[in-house]
Amino acid sequence: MELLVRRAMRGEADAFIELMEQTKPALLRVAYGYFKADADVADAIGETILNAWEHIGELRKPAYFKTWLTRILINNCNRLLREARRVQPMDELPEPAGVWDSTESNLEFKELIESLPENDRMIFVLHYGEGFTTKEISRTLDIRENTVKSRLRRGRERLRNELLQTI
Amino acid sequence: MKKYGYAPEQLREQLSCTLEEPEVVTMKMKEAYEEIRADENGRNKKRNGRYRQLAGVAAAAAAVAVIAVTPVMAKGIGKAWDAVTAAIFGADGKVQEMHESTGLSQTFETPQGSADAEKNHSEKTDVKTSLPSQTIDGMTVSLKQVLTDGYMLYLSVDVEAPEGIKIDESNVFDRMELLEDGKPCEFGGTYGINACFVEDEYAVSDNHRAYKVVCNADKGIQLDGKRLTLELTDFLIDRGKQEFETAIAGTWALEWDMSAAYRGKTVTIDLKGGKCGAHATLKSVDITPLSYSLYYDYDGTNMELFNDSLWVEFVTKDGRVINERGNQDSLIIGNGGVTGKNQEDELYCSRESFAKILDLDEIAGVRIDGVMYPVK
Repeated sequence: MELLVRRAMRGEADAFIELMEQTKPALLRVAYGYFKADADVADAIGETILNAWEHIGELRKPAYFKTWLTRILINNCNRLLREARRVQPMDELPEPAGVWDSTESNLEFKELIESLPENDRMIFVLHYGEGFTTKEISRTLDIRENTVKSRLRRGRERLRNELLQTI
Repeated sequence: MKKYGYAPEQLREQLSCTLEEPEVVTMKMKEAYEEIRADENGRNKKRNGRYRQLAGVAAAAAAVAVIAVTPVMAKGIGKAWDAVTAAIFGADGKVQEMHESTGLSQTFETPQGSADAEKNHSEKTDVKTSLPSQTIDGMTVSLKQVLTDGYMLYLSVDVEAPEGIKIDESNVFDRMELLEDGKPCEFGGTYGINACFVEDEYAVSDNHRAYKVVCNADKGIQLDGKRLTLELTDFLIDRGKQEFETAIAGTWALEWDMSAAYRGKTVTIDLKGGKCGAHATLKSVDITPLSYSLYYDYDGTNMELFNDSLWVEFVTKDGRVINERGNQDSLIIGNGGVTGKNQEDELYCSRESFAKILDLDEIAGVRIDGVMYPVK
C-alpha cells in the first residue's frame, strides 16, 4: 500500500482512487459509527475522499496514511453532525430512528454499535474494527490514552453485564 | 439473546466485518472520483490514455538493450558521488569506511580503461565486479552501490541522460522491479520497493543524478550469492507543465551477483512482564547499521497485543539515546513494522529502520526500563 500512497502523493488519480477502494471497508465502518442513515454516511465519505485528495501531498509519512485518512473522516462526521444540529432547532430534531436505515447484513454490526454509549463507539470501532493502538486512538480522537484504555475496559464490562442480563 | 459478545475476539470479529455498501455510498464515491479525475486533468498531472498510448508505441520502437560499460569517471564526479552516497544513505562519509569485508556494502568498480571494459564485457557471466550498467537511447543507468543488512536493501543508481534532457527530483521511472534469479523478488508487507531521485544539491549536473531505491522486507532477506536484476522501465519527465511524458522508453536491466551480506549483532534480553507488558517476553534484539529488530514471544490474546507497549532505547558509549521517541511508542504493532509469528521459532518480530547509517562501534547497548543490555 505504501507504494500506492507515494504515487497518490505525486498526484496520480488512479493510485489515489485505488487507495480509496482499498480503504473503503474501513471508511464504512467508521462512518456507521456516527450515522444511521446511509445518505449521511455517503456524504461523510464523499467529502473525506475529496479532502484527502486535496491534502495528500501534505502527508508526512506514507505509513501514517490510514490514521491520517481516518482522522479526516472523523472530522467530517463531527462537522456534519454539528451542522445538522445547527440547521434544525432542537425541538424540531427528528427522533432517533429506531431502525437502522440499511441492509439486513449490516444490522449485527450496527446493533453492537447502538449498544455502546455514544462516547465509546468510535473507540471500539477504531480499536477492534480497525486495529488502532490506544496511542493511535488517543491521537486521532484527541483524548488521553488512559481515557481510551479505561473506556475500552468499562465498555466491555457493560456489554458483559448486558449479555448476562439477557441470559 | 443478543448476537454480539464482549470478549475481545468476538468484538474484533463483529467490528471488523465487511459491511455491505449501500448504493448511495457507491454513487457518492463515484462522483468524488469523477471530480478527482477532472481535477487531475485540469492540473495536467495525469498520465492519461494519450500518454499510455505513447508509451506503448515508444516501447515497441525501443532499441534493443545492450550491456554497456560506463567509461572512466572524472575525479570530480567521483567526489560528487561521495556526497551523493551520503545524501542517499544519510551517512557523513562513514559509508565510505564500510568495507566489503563487513558485508554491509557492495560497490561496483568503475573500469579504468578500455582493456578492463573489454574484459568486463566479454565476461558477462561474472558481473560481481563489473559495473552493472545499460544504455538505451543515450541514457545510461548504472548501479553504483548496494547496502543491505539482511532486512533493508538500498540501491544507489546513477542515471545520466543525453544532453538536453534535464533530470529533476520529480522525474521517475514508470515501473521498477527487483528480480532474484530471474523471478520477482518478494518485498511484501507494508513497504515494498520505493525510489526517488536525490535532491538538486546532490545532482552531478542537469542531466546526471542519483536514483535511490529502497527495498524493505517484513522478514529477513538472504540475498547473498543470488543473481539479482533491477529493472527500471520508461523514464518519465515533467515537461514543466505538470505533465508526465515518456522521455526515453525502454527497460534498463542491471544485473549483479549479490555479495553483500550482513549479519547484525544480537543482544539477548529474555525479559518478561514489567515494561514489556503482562504477556510479552522480549527474547532478543538484532541491531545493524541500518535497522533494528525486536523478537518476542506473546502469550496473550491478539487484541491485548495492541495494548502492550515497550520503550527500547539504543544508547551510545557517550550516553546518548539515538532513537527518536516518536518512532517507537509501542513494541507491538507499531506503524506497520510487525511481522506475524514466525513458524520456525514461533516468535514475533517488530522492525524499524534507522534514519541514518549507524556506526555500531559507537553503540553501547540496549536499555529497557533503566537496565542496560550491552552490545558485544
